[in-house]
Amino acid sequence: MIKIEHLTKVYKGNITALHDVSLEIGTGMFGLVGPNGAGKTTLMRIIAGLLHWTAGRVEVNGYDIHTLKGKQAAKALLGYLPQELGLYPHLTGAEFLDYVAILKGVTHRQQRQHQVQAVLEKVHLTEVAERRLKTYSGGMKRRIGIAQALIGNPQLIIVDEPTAGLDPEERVRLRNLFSELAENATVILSTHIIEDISQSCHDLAIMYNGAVLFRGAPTELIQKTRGQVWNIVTDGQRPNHGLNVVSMLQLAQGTQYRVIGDAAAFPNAIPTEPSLEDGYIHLMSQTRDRGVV
Amino acid sequence: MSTTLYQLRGMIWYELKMHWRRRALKVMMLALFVLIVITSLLQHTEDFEKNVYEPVKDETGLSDAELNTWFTIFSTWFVGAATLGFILPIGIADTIPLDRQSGVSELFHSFPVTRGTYVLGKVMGVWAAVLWGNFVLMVITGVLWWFFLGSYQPLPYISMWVLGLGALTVLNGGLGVLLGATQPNRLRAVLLTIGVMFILPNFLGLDANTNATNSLWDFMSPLRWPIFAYYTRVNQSGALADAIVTAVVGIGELIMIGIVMWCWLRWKEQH
Repeated sequence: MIKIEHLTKVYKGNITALHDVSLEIGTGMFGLVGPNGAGKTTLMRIIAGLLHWTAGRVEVNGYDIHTLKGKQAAKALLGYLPQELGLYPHLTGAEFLDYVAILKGVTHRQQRQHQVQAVLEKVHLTEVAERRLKTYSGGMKRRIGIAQALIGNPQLIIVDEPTAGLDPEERVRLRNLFSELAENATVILSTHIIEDISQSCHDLAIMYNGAVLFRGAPTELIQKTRGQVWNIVTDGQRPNHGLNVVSMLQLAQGTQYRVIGDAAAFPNAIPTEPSLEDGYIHLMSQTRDRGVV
Repeated sequence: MSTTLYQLRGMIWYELKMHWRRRALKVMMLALFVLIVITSLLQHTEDFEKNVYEPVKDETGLSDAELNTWFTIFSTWFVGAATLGFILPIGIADTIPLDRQSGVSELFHSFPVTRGTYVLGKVMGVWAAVLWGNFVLMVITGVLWWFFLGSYQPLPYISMWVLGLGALTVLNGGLGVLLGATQPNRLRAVLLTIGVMFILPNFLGLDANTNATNSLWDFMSPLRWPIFAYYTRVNQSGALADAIVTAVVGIGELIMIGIVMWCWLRWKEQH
């Protein structure tokens, strides 16, 4: 369980990255979405004990991570995959994971070997485990990053853009892996791929300009957009009038636009079931229009 | 074994492996080996035998084995001390900034490893890697000398590697990593180490061409002049004691820098 109360982070130069954020995150998959610069990475780095904050309080499984003792205790429960992952290119995949296991305090050699093998299988890297990391492709490096986050059976897993650069099949498999892990752990998933959130998270927060704009289940966000999403097929001009065009599809009879907004006035507009992505875009455009935050 | 000791042991093992898989240490050790061989080949000429070996033998009454021992130490020490005392700290100054620049430190600091353990592990990893290289070179060159010169006393030769060059490795190698750790990037780490290793000693009045004056700075200076003098001057009275004092002061210096670093890192961890 993570408890964040009135968290504020101001960087040098008076840049506010987080402003009065309060969140409680329990066991299960928790999605964190928002545009670049929204404060997602800052929030995750604070929870991971990598960054100090300006005001507020953060507790991880009851440990106050403001204190050094609490921070160390919380880190022992943590599996973290940063957005920009650095690896030791001269170690093999298996050696790197063994090294991580030692640093995470898995002291028993056999237990360590067993864990390394298990995570390598989970991320489909067993066959290349003895190859040096400098020979790995971008996707393989991302998977070894996920593997190291899983070492030591963490109770809190924080993953920043874990599926970036992976092929669709691998993405789905890893998404399912996180869902499995979330049965007994808290998994915080930050991503720009809304589909990953909609397919795996029961709870999410949308951030914008350092604040939480929305907190709840994906279905709630979808519900808020119901009646606002339309399909319009036209061979003429692109529909405007304050509509947000989400997608365009070239068809034989013209172009099909998926739009968000009040399109009832368009003669050939057909109401459509909204997706989580529609909900996100609707919320963001409303926020920008209102000049909120 | 406590978790911290276990983490340190793991760091030493993997740092040793990584240093030997990278190019820098291999190149440095190979260069040291080649330099030792070239130096000895250049020195051990007929002229040298006639003008140096024979007069020294006549004057001191040293046996062939004793004279050979002096020659092995003399030939190895200069290049060894220059490489391990000055090139090594510059070569390994970027150990911690490299982690920072490549993004590994972000991952490292998410593990339950304190920053103090991290820096200590890095320093000890460098020591282990270089001392292992020293050991291999000592054996190879030791055997080569035997074939090249004939019999000599192995104990003083080993003691020069272990105590003399070993001390330079530990003191200046440790200094290089610790100085580099304070810098945000590799270039600044290297520049700072060059400054401390070369510019500071000259600025404070002692360089390799001057004699030690037994001031505290002589013992603290990264030139480690008394150790250097002990292996380059035969039968100099008090030289061994000065060399030992230098090594002890050097270790104290490292501990002091280590404590300052630890306090700074702890402060950084909390703020």
